Amino acid sequence: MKIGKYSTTSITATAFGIMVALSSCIKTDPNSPGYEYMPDMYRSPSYETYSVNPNFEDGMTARKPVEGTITRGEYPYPASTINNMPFAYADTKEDYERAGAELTNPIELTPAILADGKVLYEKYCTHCHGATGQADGKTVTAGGFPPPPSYSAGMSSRGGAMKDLTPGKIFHTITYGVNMMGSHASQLNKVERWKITHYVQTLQKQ
Amino acid sequence: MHTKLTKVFFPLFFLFFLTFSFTAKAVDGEKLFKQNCSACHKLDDKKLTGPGLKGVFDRVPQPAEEWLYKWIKDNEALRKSGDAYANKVFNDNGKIPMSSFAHLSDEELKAIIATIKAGPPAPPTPVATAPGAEPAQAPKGNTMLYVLLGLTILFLILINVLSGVKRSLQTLVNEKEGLPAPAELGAWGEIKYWMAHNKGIVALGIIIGFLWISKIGWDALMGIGVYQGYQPEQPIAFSHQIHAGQNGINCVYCHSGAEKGKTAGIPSANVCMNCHKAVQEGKLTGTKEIAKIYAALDYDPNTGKYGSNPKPIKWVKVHNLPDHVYFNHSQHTVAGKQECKTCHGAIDSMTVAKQHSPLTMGWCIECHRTTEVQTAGNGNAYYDYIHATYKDKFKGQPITVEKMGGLECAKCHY
Repeated sequence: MKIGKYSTTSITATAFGIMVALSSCIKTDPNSPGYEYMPDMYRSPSYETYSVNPNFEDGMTARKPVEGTITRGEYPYPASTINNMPFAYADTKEDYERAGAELTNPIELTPAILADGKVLYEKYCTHCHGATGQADGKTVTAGGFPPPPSYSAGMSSRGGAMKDLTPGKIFHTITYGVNMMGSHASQLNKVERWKITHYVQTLQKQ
Repeated sequence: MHTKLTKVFFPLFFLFFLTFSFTAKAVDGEKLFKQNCSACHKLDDKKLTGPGLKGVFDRVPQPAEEWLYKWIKDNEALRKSGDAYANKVFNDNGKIPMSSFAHLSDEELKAIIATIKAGPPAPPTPVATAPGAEPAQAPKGNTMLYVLLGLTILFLILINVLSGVKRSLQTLVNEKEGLPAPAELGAWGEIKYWMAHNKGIVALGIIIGFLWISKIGWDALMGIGVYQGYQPEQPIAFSHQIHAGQNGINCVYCHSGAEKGKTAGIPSANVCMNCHKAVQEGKLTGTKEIAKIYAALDYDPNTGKYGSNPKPIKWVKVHNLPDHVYFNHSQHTVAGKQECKTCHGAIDSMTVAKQHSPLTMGWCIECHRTTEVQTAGNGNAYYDYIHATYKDKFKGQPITVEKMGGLECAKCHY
């Protein structure tokens, strides 16, 4: 039988071929993003933040800020001179004690600030320290992370009870970390750290 | 009778009381250890800030319990008294002084020492996973095609068999009536014969086939440049299911850029080390994958020291927007108050991160058309003013992102 001048056999074969060819365009491999129409629109010729860069020795496009760089907007508190400066305390026990004695929380405690502190605490601290600071976060209970001392009942490894830690000491600890806790300065800016300090101080009293 | 009962029960009661008081004490020691010691010491041989306590009773000067008592109570005094081993421990562990525990009572100190002596609690028996117990990977995508191919072959065989039966019957009938046997057509000939006599069905089949092929073709073409379902293997088998799901770590703990800037950001390895300094063995992959973080950072988990030759981890980017689109995370998470899951799906149940949404322009527009702007409780005078203006302008209508100009070309393309 013929349709026009083509036999049904060849029409069927062609249709089947097209079908197979098209279905191969459907993505099945999770490792492949699939086909791109004009890939140069997707893959930028310029170097992106996380892309490999042959021009630097370490191969990364992302650069570290120059030592001593001050973040934009680092001067929000005209009242306190010491907090206007880049953090003037080193990661030593002496400077920890000094920060504890010299620093006060430059952010005035208001219900709104405390609410901000709570939100930040829940995002950055709860998984280890627990919702109420009793070291019952999921990372400890389910993940096997060694429990930190309780804010209200525990003892600080650097002396004294946790509930007596001053704002300066708490801020220093968030900034540099201590023992198993790492520095959180890369995740939280100073304002956020001071807000969390306010909230931690309410947990010390629980 | 009464006296007999007392005689039996009194020792029993006494025994019960004795056991209870002992267990109570042991629990107490464990609790004290957790409160005071476990932030720096493990009961096995792994070093945290301080050395692991396995075998400590054999290491320290004898009698061990007496020495440990003095050390825990006030290690500084012990060091200053010239105790050789105390000073050695101090020097061997990076000269980080252990805090004094003079505030603990003798009883509490003894309970802690007993807990150390008892050693680590037996690890919970790991859930046995039979090899091959892994869920069978369902064949994706092409299943339908295979089913149809199978059916087609089945039908061809069926047609062949039936036509054979039909021909032998026809031959019998023809023989009876003295007619010549019907011509041998062969399988393909039979199909052609059938098709020639059933043109309606053939036409219908061709139309359905054509539409079906068109649908496949259309879908395939629409999928070009859309990465939905993209789930690449990463250089480190990081599981969001373990971290965000089981351990309840908030998304922004690691992707802290999501509320501050354009990109959510891939966490730098120091964020990994906030936990993995202590957690050196993973639940799914043991030490294998975590060792890759250490290798990248040139970190030695045994000494706790960083080397001088760190290398970047080459994560594979999953979500990719073309260069001609501007997208800002903080705009959506802070001002728009969108949840991460709205666009990224149930990331906390994914072992390997997968692109949940198509990220096409149609998808963006759809959300901008339907999402209502949260007008209350923003605590921002400008927002309050502008929302009031819109409420006046679009009386009774919901204020969507579209109403605020969320469909303007230059909102995203500039």
